[in-house]
Amino acid sequence: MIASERKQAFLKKVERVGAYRAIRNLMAEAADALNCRNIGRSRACLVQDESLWIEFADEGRFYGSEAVDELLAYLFSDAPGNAVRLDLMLTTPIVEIAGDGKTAQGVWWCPVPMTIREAVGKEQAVWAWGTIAADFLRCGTEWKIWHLHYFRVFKCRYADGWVDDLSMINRLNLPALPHSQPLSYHNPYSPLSVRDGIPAAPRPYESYTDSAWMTETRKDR
Amino acid sequence: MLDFCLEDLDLLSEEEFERLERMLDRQIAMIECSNLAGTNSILWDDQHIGQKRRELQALDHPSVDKEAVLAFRRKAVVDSLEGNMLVHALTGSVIEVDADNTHARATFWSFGHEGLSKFREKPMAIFSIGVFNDAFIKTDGEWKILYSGWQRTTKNEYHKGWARDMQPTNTRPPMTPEEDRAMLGRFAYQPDEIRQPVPEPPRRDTWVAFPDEADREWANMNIASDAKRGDSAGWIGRVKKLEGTEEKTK
Repeated sequence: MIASERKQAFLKKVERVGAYRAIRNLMAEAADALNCRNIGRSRACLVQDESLWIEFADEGRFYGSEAVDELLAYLFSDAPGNAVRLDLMLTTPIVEIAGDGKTAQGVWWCPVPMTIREAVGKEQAVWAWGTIAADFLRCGTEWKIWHLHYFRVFKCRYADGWVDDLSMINRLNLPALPHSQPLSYHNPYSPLSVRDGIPAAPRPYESYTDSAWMTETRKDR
Repeated sequence: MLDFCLEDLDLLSEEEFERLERMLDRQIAMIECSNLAGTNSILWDDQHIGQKRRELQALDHPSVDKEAVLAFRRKAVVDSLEGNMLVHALTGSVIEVDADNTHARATFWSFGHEGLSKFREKPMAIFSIGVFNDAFIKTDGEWKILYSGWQRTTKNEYHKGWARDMQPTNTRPPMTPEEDRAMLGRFAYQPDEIRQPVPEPPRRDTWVAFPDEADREWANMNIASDAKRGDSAGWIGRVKKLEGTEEKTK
Protein backbone atom coordinates (compact mmCIF):
# COMPACT_ATOMS: atom_id res chain seq x y z
CA MET A 1 0.00 0.00 0.00
CA ILE A 2 1.47 3.35 -1.03
CA ALA A 3 1.30 5.92 1.76
CA SER A 4 -1.04 8.83 1.22
CA GLU A 5 1.71 11.41 1.93
CA ARG A 6 3.86 9.86 -0.77
CA LYS A 7 1.04 10.02 -3.29
CA GLN A 8 0.32 13.63 -2.38
CA ALA A 9 4.00 14.49 -2.83
CA PHE A 10 3.94 12.76 -6.20
CA LEU A 11 0.91 14.74 -7.36
CA LYS A 12 2.54 17.97 -6.25
CA LYS A 13 5.58 17.15 -8.38
CA VAL A 14 3.32 16.35 -11.34
CA GLU A 15 1.73 19.76 -10.91
CA ARG A 16 5.16 21.42 -10.70
CA VAL A 17 6.43 19.84 -13.91
CA GLY A 18 3.16 20.64 -15.68
CA ALA A 19 3.37 24.26 -14.53
CA TYR A 20 6.95 24.50 -15.79
CA ARG A 21 5.96 23.28 -19.25
CA ALA A 22 2.89 25.54 -19.32
CA ILE A 23 4.95 28.60 -18.44
CA ARG A 24 7.62 27.84 -21.03
CA ASN A 25 4.84 27.51 -23.62
CA LEU A 26 3.10 30.67 -22.42
CA MET A 27 6.26 32.72 -22.80
CA ALA A 28 6.90 31.27 -26.25
CA GLU A 29 3.31 32.15 -27.19
CA ALA A 30 3.79 35.69 -25.88
CA ALA A 31 7.05 36.08 -27.83
CA ASP A 32 5.40 34.81 -30.99
CA ALA A 33 2.47 37.21 -30.55
CA LEU A 34 4.90 40.08 -30.07
CA ASN A 35 6.92 39.10 -33.14
CA CYS A 36 3.72 38.85 -35.20
CA ARG A 37 2.58 42.22 -33.86
CA ASN A 38 -0.66 40.67 -32.66
CA ILE A 39 -1.92 42.84 -29.84
CA GLY A 40 -4.91 40.59 -29.05
CA ARG A 41 -2.81 37.46 -28.60
CA SER A 42 -0.25 39.40 -26.59
CA ARG A 43 -2.94 40.73 -24.27
CA ALA A 44 -4.39 37.24 -23.83
CA CYS A 45 -1.10 36.10 -22.30
CA LEU A 46 -1.40 38.68 -19.53
CA VAL A 47 -3.38 38.72 -16.28
CA GLN A 48 -6.67 40.48 -16.89
CA ASP A 49 -6.91 42.60 -13.74
CA GLU A 50 -5.42 45.71 -12.16
CA SER A 51 -2.61 43.84 -10.41
CA LEU A 52 -0.89 43.53 -13.80
CA TRP A 53 2.22 45.61 -14.50
CA ILE A 54 4.93 45.81 -17.13
CA GLU A 55 8.21 47.68 -16.89
CA PHE A 56 9.77 48.15 -20.31
CA ALA A 57 13.41 49.23 -20.67
CA ASP A 58 13.47 52.98 -19.93
CA GLU A 59 9.95 53.64 -21.26
CA GLY A 60 8.68 53.31 -17.70
CA ARG A 61 6.61 51.04 -15.54
CA PHE A 62 2.95 50.64 -16.46
CA TYR A 63 0.47 49.66 -13.75
CA GLY A 64 -2.93 48.17 -14.50
CA SER A 65 -4.85 47.28 -17.65
CA GLU A 66 -5.27 50.76 -19.09
CA ALA A 67 -1.59 51.62 -18.75
CA VAL A 68 -0.46 48.27 -20.16
CA ASP A 69 -2.84 48.66 -23.11
CA GLU A 70 -1.30 52.06 -23.74
CA LEU A 71 2.20 50.54 -23.69
CA LEU A 72 1.23 47.72 -26.06
CA ALA A 73 -0.43 50.14 -28.47
CA TYR A 74 2.77 52.20 -28.43
CA LEU A 75 5.05 49.17 -28.96
CA PHE A 76 2.93 47.89 -31.85
CA SER A 77 2.55 51.28 -33.51
CA ASP A 78 4.43 52.56 -36.54
CA ALA A 79 5.80 55.53 -34.63
CA PRO A 80 9.19 56.69 -35.97
CA GLY A 81 11.97 54.69 -34.35
CA ASN A 82 9.71 51.77 -33.49
CA ALA A 83 10.34 48.23 -34.67
CA VAL A 84 8.47 47.35 -37.83
CA ARG A 85 9.84 43.81 -37.59
CA LEU A 86 11.35 42.02 -34.66
CA ASP A 87 12.21 38.46 -33.72
CA LEU A 88 12.45 38.16 -29.98
CA MET A 89 13.88 34.76 -29.06
CA LEU A 90 13.80 33.17 -25.64
CA THR A 91 16.97 31.54 -24.31
CA THR A 92 18.54 30.63 -20.96
CA PRO A 93 15.29 29.82 -19.12
CA ILE A 94 15.34 29.87 -15.32
CA VAL A 95 11.87 29.06 -13.97
CA GLU A 96 10.82 28.45 -10.37
CA ILE A 97 7.32 27.32 -9.41
CA ALA A 98 6.17 28.41 -5.94
CA GLY A 99 5.79 25.65 -3.39
CA ASP A 100 2.08 26.48 -3.11
CA GLY A 101 1.70 26.12 -6.90
CA LYS A 102 -0.11 29.45 -7.27
CA THR A 103 2.65 31.59 -8.76
CA ALA A 104 5.95 31.23 -10.56
CA GLN A 105 8.99 33.34 -11.39
CA GLY A 106 11.14 33.22 -14.49
CA VAL A 107 14.05 34.81 -16.34
CA TRP A 108 14.95 34.59 -20.04
CA TRP A 109 17.79 36.15 -22.03
CA CYS A 110 16.50 37.45 -25.33
CA PRO A 111 18.36 38.32 -28.51
CA VAL A 112 16.13 40.55 -30.64
CA PRO A 113 17.14 41.26 -34.24
CA MET A 114 14.78 43.93 -35.53
CA THR A 115 14.15 46.50 -38.21
CA ILE A 116 13.22 50.00 -37.21
CA ARG A 117 11.76 52.63 -39.49
CA GLU A 118 13.30 56.04 -38.95
CA ALA A 119 11.13 57.39 -41.77
CA VAL A 120 9.24 55.89 -44.68
CA GLY A 121 11.82 54.22 -46.92
CA LYS A 122 14.53 54.61 -44.31
CA GLU A 123 14.72 51.30 -42.49
CA GLN A 124 17.56 50.35 -40.23
CA ALA A 125 18.74 46.87 -39.16
CA VAL A 126 19.00 46.90 -35.38
CA TRP A 127 20.53 44.36 -33.05
CA ALA A 128 18.92 44.42 -29.63
CA TRP A 129 19.35 42.27 -26.58
CA GLY A 130 17.25 42.23 -23.47
CA THR A 131 16.45 40.15 -20.43
CA ILE A 132 12.97 39.33 -19.23
CA ALA A 133 12.09 38.72 -15.60
CA ALA A 134 8.47 37.83 -14.91
CA ASP A 135 6.04 36.74 -12.23
CA PHE A 136 3.32 34.33 -13.32
CA LEU A 137 -0.09 33.77 -11.78
CA ARG A 138 -2.16 30.62 -12.02
CA CYS A 139 -5.65 31.68 -13.13
CA GLY A 140 -7.86 28.60 -12.84
CA THR A 141 -6.31 25.97 -15.09
CA GLU A 142 -4.18 28.49 -17.00
CA TRP A 143 -1.03 30.45 -16.29
CA LYS A 144 -0.75 34.14 -17.15
CA ILE A 145 2.03 36.71 -17.12
CA TRP A 146 1.44 38.83 -14.04
CA HIS A 147 4.39 41.21 -13.78
CA LEU A 148 6.97 41.56 -16.53
CA HIS A 149 10.18 43.56 -16.60
CA TYR A 150 12.10 43.86 -19.87
CA PHE A 151 15.67 44.94 -19.08
CA ARG A 152 17.51 46.39 -22.05
CA VAL A 153 21.06 45.05 -22.40
CA PHE A 154 21.81 46.92 -25.61
CA LYS A 155 20.12 48.24 -28.72
CA CYS A 156 22.33 49.30 -31.61
CA ARG A 157 22.53 49.60 -35.36
CA TYR A 158 23.53 46.19 -36.68
CA ALA A 159 26.19 47.79 -38.86
CA ASP A 160 27.88 49.49 -35.91
CA GLY A 161 27.56 47.07 -32.99
CA TRP A 162 26.99 47.58 -29.28
CA VAL A 163 30.25 49.37 -28.54
CA ASP A 164 30.10 51.96 -31.32
CA ASP A 165 26.39 52.79 -31.39
CA LEU A 166 24.94 53.95 -28.08
CA SER A 167 22.27 56.16 -29.61
CA MET A 168 19.36 53.90 -28.65
CA ILE A 169 20.23 52.64 -25.18
CA ASN A 170 18.62 55.58 -23.38
CA ARG A 171 15.50 57.42 -24.49
CA LEU A 172 14.80 61.16 -24.35
CA ASN A 173 14.55 62.68 -20.91
CA LEU A 174 10.78 62.89 -21.17
CA PRO A 175 8.05 60.43 -20.13
CA ALA A 176 7.51 57.98 -22.97
CA LEU A 177 3.74 57.85 -22.44
CA PRO A 178 1.14 59.47 -20.19
CA HIS A 179 0.97 56.35 -17.99
CA SER A 180 4.76 55.98 -17.62
CA GLN A 181 5.76 55.59 -13.98
CA PRO A 182 9.31 55.71 -12.59
CA LEU A 183 11.61 52.82 -13.40
CA SER A 184 13.01 50.37 -10.88
CA TYR A 185 16.19 49.62 -12.86
CA HIS A 186 17.85 50.55 -16.15
CA ASN A 187 21.54 49.83 -16.74
CA PRO A 188 22.17 48.98 -20.40
CA TYR A 189 25.60 48.03 -21.64
CA SER A 190 27.89 50.88 -22.64
CA PRO A 191 31.68 51.34 -22.64
CA LEU A 192 31.32 52.97 -19.21
CA SER A 193 28.72 50.71 -17.62
CA VAL A 194 29.41 47.88 -15.18
CA ARG A 195 27.38 44.68 -15.39
CA ASP A 196 25.55 43.71 -12.23
CA GLY A 197 23.90 40.33 -12.68
CA ILE A 198 20.42 41.85 -12.84
CA PRO A 199 17.81 40.54 -13.24
CA ALA A 200 18.76 38.00 -10.64
CA ALA A 201 17.89 34.35 -11.01
CA PRO A 202 14.71 33.36 -9.18
CA ARG A 203 15.24 31.04 -6.22
CA PRO A 204 12.96 28.30 -4.90
CA TYR A 205 10.20 29.88 -2.80
CA GLU A 206 7.04 28.83 -1.02
CA SER A 207 4.58 31.61 -1.85
CA TYR A 208 4.57 35.01 -3.54
CA THR A 209 5.51 38.03 -1.48
CA ASP A 210 6.71 40.67 -3.95
CA SER A 211 8.74 41.17 -7.13
CA ALA A 212 11.89 42.46 -5.47
CA TRP A 213 13.75 39.30 -6.53
CA MET A 214 14.07 40.73 -10.05
CA THR A 215 16.45 43.48 -8.96
CA GLU A 216 18.00 41.68 -6.00
CA THR A 217 21.67 42.63 -5.74
CA ARG A 218 22.59 40.05 -3.09
CA LYS A 219 24.17 37.10 -4.81
CA ASP A 220 24.53 34.85 -1.78
CA ARG A 221 20.83 34.05 -1.45
CA MET B 1 2.15 16.41 -18.92
CA LEU B 2 0.44 13.36 -17.47
CA ASP B 3 -2.75 14.07 -15.61
CA PHE B 4 -3.06 12.05 -12.42
CA CYS B 5 -5.44 11.92 -9.49
CA LEU B 6 -5.19 9.96 -6.25
CA GLU B 7 -7.54 7.26 -7.51
CA ASP B 8 -5.29 6.60 -10.50
CA LEU B 9 -2.36 6.04 -8.20
CA ASP B 10 -4.29 3.48 -6.17
CA LEU B 11 -4.32 1.25 -9.24
CA LEU B 12 -0.52 1.07 -9.36
CA SER B 13 1.69 -1.54 -7.77
CA GLU B 14 4.54 -0.39 -5.55
CA GLU B 15 6.98 -1.14 -8.35
CA GLU B 16 4.99 0.78 -10.95
CA PHE B 17 4.63 3.73 -8.64
CA GLU B 18 8.36 3.77 -7.91
CA ARG B 19 9.10 3.77 -11.62
CA LEU B 20 6.79 6.75 -12.13
CA GLU B 21 8.39 8.56 -9.23
CA ARG B 22 11.82 8.11 -10.76
CA MET B 23 10.61 9.35 -14.15
CA LEU B 24 9.09 12.41 -12.55
CA ASP B 25 12.18 13.11 -10.46
CA ARG B 26 14.24 12.93 -13.64
CA GLN B 27 12.05 15.63 -15.21
CA ILE B 28 12.56 17.80 -12.14
CA ALA B 29 16.30 17.14 -12.18
CA MET B 30 16.47 18.37 -15.78
CA ILE B 31 14.59 21.55 -14.84
CA GLU B 32 16.83 22.19 -11.85
CA CYS B 33 20.04 21.60 -13.82
CA SER B 34 18.79 23.92 -16.56
CA ASN B 35 18.02 26.56 -13.93
CA LEU B 36 21.45 26.11 -12.40
CA ALA B 37 23.18 26.54 -15.77
CA GLY B 38 21.16 29.73 -16.38
CA THR B 39 22.05 31.07 -12.94
CA ASN B 40 25.69 30.36 -13.64
CA SER B 41 25.42 32.40 -16.86
CA ILE B 42 24.09 35.40 -14.94
CA LEU B 43 26.95 35.25 -12.47
CA TRP B 44 29.46 34.76 -15.28
CA ASP B 45 28.35 38.05 -16.83
CA ASP B 46 28.72 39.68 -13.41
CA GLN B 47 32.46 39.51 -12.86
CA HIS B 48 32.76 41.33 -9.50
CA ILE B 49 35.62 39.58 -7.72
CA GLY B 50 35.30 38.95 -4.00
CA GLN B 51 31.56 39.45 -3.65
CA LYS B 52 29.81 36.96 -1.43
CA ARG B 53 27.93 34.54 -3.64
CA ARG B 54 25.93 31.38 -3.32
CA GLU B 55 28.31 28.59 -4.24
CA LEU B 56 27.13 26.91 -7.44
CA GLN B 57 30.02 24.47 -7.79
CA ALA B 58 30.65 21.23 -5.89
CA LEU B 59 33.97 22.50 -4.57
CA ASP B 60 34.37 19.70 -2.03
CA HIS B 61 34.11 16.92 -4.58
CA PRO B 62 37.37 14.90 -4.71
CA SER B 63 37.78 15.59 -8.43
CA VAL B 64 37.68 19.37 -7.93
CA ASP B 65 40.89 21.24 -7.17
CA LYS B 66 39.22 23.66 -4.79
CA GLU B 67 42.26 25.86 -4.21
CA ALA B 68 42.91 26.20 -7.92
CA VAL B 69 39.27 27.12 -8.58
CA LEU B 70 39.28 29.75 -5.84
CA ALA B 71 42.63 31.15 -7.01
CA PHE B 72 41.29 31.39 -10.58
CA ARG B 73 38.26 33.32 -9.35
CA ARG B 74 40.43 35.78 -7.43
CA LYS B 75 42.56 36.68 -10.43
CA ALA B 76 41.55 39.82 -12.31
CA VAL B 77 42.01 39.71 -16.08
CA VAL B 78 40.82 43.28 -16.75
CA ASP B 79 41.76 46.53 -15.00
CA SER B 80 38.18 47.68 -14.60
CA LEU B 81 34.77 46.16 -15.16
CA GLU B 82 33.73 49.26 -17.11
CA GLY B 83 32.77 48.28 -20.64
CA ASN B 84 33.15 44.57 -20.03
CA MET B 85 30.29 42.19 -20.73
CA LEU B 86 29.98 38.40 -20.98
CA VAL B 87 26.41 37.67 -22.02
CA HIS B 88 26.34 34.03 -23.10
CA ALA B 89 22.85 32.78 -23.83
CA LEU B 90 22.07 29.08 -23.49
CA THR B 91 20.13 27.22 -26.15
CA GLY B 92 19.89 23.71 -27.59
CA SER B 93 20.25 21.86 -24.32
CA VAL B 94 20.69 18.10 -24.04
CA ILE B 95 20.51 16.94 -20.42
CA GLU B 96 20.87 13.32 -19.33
CA VAL B 97 20.27 12.33 -15.73
CA ASP B 98 21.50 9.05 -14.23
CA ALA B 99 19.25 6.30 -12.88
CA ASP B 100 19.53 7.56 -9.29
CA ASN B 101 18.72 11.15 -10.22
CA THR B 102 21.89 12.36 -8.51
CA HIS B 103 24.15 13.04 -11.50
CA ALA B 104 23.56 14.75 -14.83
CA ARG B 105 25.53 15.63 -17.94
CA ALA B 106 24.57 18.30 -20.39
CA THR B 107 25.57 20.26 -23.43
CA PHE B 108 24.24 23.75 -24.13
CA TRP B 109 24.87 25.62 -27.33
CA SER B 110 25.63 29.20 -26.59
CA PHE B 111 26.04 32.42 -28.50
CA GLY B 112 27.67 35.24 -26.70
CA HIS B 113 27.88 38.98 -26.97
CA GLU B 114 30.86 40.41 -25.20
CA GLY B 115 32.54 43.69 -24.52
CA LEU B 116 36.23 43.47 -23.67
CA SER B 117 38.31 46.32 -22.27
CA LYS B 118 41.54 44.96 -20.78
CA PHE B 119 43.30 48.16 -19.75
CA ARG B 120 40.47 50.73 -19.73
CA GLU B 121 40.79 51.18 -23.47
CA LYS B 122 37.70 51.47 -25.68
CA PRO B 123 36.04 48.03 -25.48
CA MET B 124 36.09 45.55 -28.31
CA ALA B 125 32.69 44.15 -29.31
CA ILE B 126 33.04 40.37 -29.56
CA PHE B 127 30.71 37.77 -30.99
CA SER B 128 31.38 34.37 -29.49
CA ILE B 129 29.74 31.01 -30.17
CA GLY B 130 30.45 27.68 -28.57
CA VAL B 131 29.14 24.74 -26.59
CA PHE B 132 29.20 24.13 -22.86
CA ASN B 133 29.74 20.58 -21.72
CA ASP B 134 28.74 20.38 -18.09
CA ALA B 135 28.24 17.86 -15.33
CA PHE B 136 26.02 18.31 -12.30
CA ILE B 137 25.85 16.46 -9.01
CA LYS B 138 23.17 16.49 -6.32
CA THR B 139 24.60 16.88 -2.85
CA ASP B 140 22.62 17.61 0.32
CA GLY B 141 19.45 17.83 -1.75
CA GLU B 142 20.79 20.54 -4.06
CA TRP B 143 22.24 20.36 -7.57
CA LYS B 144 25.75 21.73 -8.00
CA ILE B 145 28.04 22.11 -10.99
CA LEU B 146 30.73 19.44 -10.92
CA TYR B 147 32.50 21.00 -13.88
CA SER B 148 31.68 23.26 -16.79
CA GLY B 149 33.67 22.98 -20.00
CA TRP B 150 33.60 25.43 -22.89
CA GLN B 151 34.28 24.43 -26.47
CA ARG B 152 34.60 27.53 -28.59
CA THR B 153 33.46 27.68 -32.18
CA THR B 154 34.07 31.37 -32.82
CA LYS B 155 35.27 34.41 -30.89
CA ASN B 156 35.67 37.33 -33.20
CA GLU B 157 35.78 41.08 -33.21
CA TYR B 158 32.28 42.03 -34.27
CA HIS B 159 33.11 43.93 -37.45
CA LYS B 160 35.72 41.47 -38.72
CA GLY B 161 33.35 38.51 -38.46
CA TRP B 162 34.03 34.87 -37.66
CA ALA B 163 35.53 33.95 -41.01
CA ARG B 164 38.39 36.41 -40.60
CA ASP B 165 39.13 36.77 -36.93
CA MET B 166 39.76 34.63 -33.87
CA GLN B 167 40.30 36.34 -30.53
CA PRO B 168 42.16 34.35 -27.86
CA THR B 169 40.77 33.83 -24.39
CA ASN B 170 41.67 36.85 -22.28
CA THR B 171 44.27 35.88 -19.69
CA ARG B 172 47.08 37.56 -17.76
CA PRO B 173 49.71 37.15 -19.08
CA PRO B 174 48.08 36.97 -22.52
CA MET B 175 48.12 33.75 -24.48
CA THR B 176 49.69 33.47 -27.87
CA PRO B 177 47.39 32.28 -30.68
CA GLU B 178 49.18 28.92 -30.50
CA GLU B 179 48.59 28.59 -26.76
CA ASP B 180 44.96 29.57 -27.20
CA ARG B 181 44.65 27.06 -30.00
CA ALA B 182 45.85 24.34 -27.63
CA MET B 183 43.21 25.24 -25.02
CA LEU B 184 39.70 26.64 -25.50
CA GLY B 185 40.37 27.22 -29.18
CA ARG B 186 41.40 23.67 -29.79
CA PHE B 187 38.42 22.75 -31.92
CA ALA B 188 37.38 26.27 -32.86
CA TYR B 189 36.31 27.16 -36.37
CA GLN B 190 39.11 27.41 -38.92
CA PRO B 191 38.39 28.14 -42.58
CA ASP B 192 40.52 25.24 -43.83
CA GLU B 193 39.45 22.55 -41.37
CA ILE B 194 36.62 20.10 -41.11
CA ARG B 195 34.58 20.58 -37.98
CA GLN B 196 35.07 17.98 -35.28
CA PRO B 197 32.13 16.36 -33.47
CA VAL B 198 33.04 17.76 -30.09
CA PRO B 199 31.65 18.09 -27.54
CA GLU B 200 29.35 15.17 -28.15
CA PRO B 201 25.94 15.67 -26.51
CA PRO B 202 25.44 13.12 -23.73
CA ARG B 203 23.72 10.03 -25.06
CA ARG B 204 20.88 8.23 -23.32
CA ASP B 205 23.37 5.62 -22.12
CA THR B 206 26.03 8.10 -21.06
CA TRP B 207 25.92 6.99 -17.43
CA VAL B 208 26.28 3.33 -18.43
CA ALA B 209 29.11 3.98 -20.86
CA PHE B 210 30.90 6.49 -18.61
CA PRO B 211 29.90 5.67 -15.01
CA ASP B 212 32.67 7.75 -13.40
CA GLU B 213 31.17 11.16 -12.66
CA ALA B 214 34.56 12.85 -13.05
CA ASP B 215 35.24 11.26 -16.44
CA ARG B 216 34.93 13.96 -19.08
CA GLU B 217 35.60 11.75 -22.07
CA TRP B 218 31.88 11.32 -22.82
CA ALA B 219 32.06 14.64 -24.62
CA ASN B 220 35.08 13.57 -26.66
CA MET B 221 34.00 10.13 -27.81
CA ASN B 222 34.61 10.64 -31.48
CA ILE B 223 37.93 12.40 -31.24
CA ALA B 224 39.08 9.72 -28.80
CA SER B 225 38.40 7.18 -31.56
CA ASP B 226 40.65 9.18 -33.84
CA ALA B 227 43.39 9.00 -31.26
CA LYS B 228 43.06 5.25 -30.94
CA ARG B 229 43.30 5.00 -34.69
CA GLY B 230 46.74 6.55 -34.43
CA ASP B 231 45.88 9.28 -36.87
CA SER B 232 48.05 12.11 -35.60
CA ALA B 233 46.33 14.63 -37.82
CA GLY B 234 42.92 13.40 -36.75
CA TRP B 235 43.60 13.44 -33.03
CA ILE B 236 43.40 17.19 -32.76
CA GLY B 237 41.00 17.58 -35.60
CA ARG B 238 43.47 19.00 -38.10
CA VAL B 239 41.99 17.19 -41.05
CA LYS B 240 42.20 19.25 -44.19
CA LYS B 241 39.13 19.42 -46.32
CA LEU B 242 39.43 16.92 -49.14
CA GLU B 243 38.46 19.43 -51.75
CA GLY B 244 41.08 21.88 -50.49
CA THR B 245 43.79 19.24 -50.61
CA GLU B 246 42.76 18.25 -54.10
CA GLU B 247 42.88 21.85 -55.21
CA LYS B 248 46.43 22.23 -53.94
CA THR B 249 47.50 18.94 -55.56
CA LYS B 250 46.30 20.12 -58.91
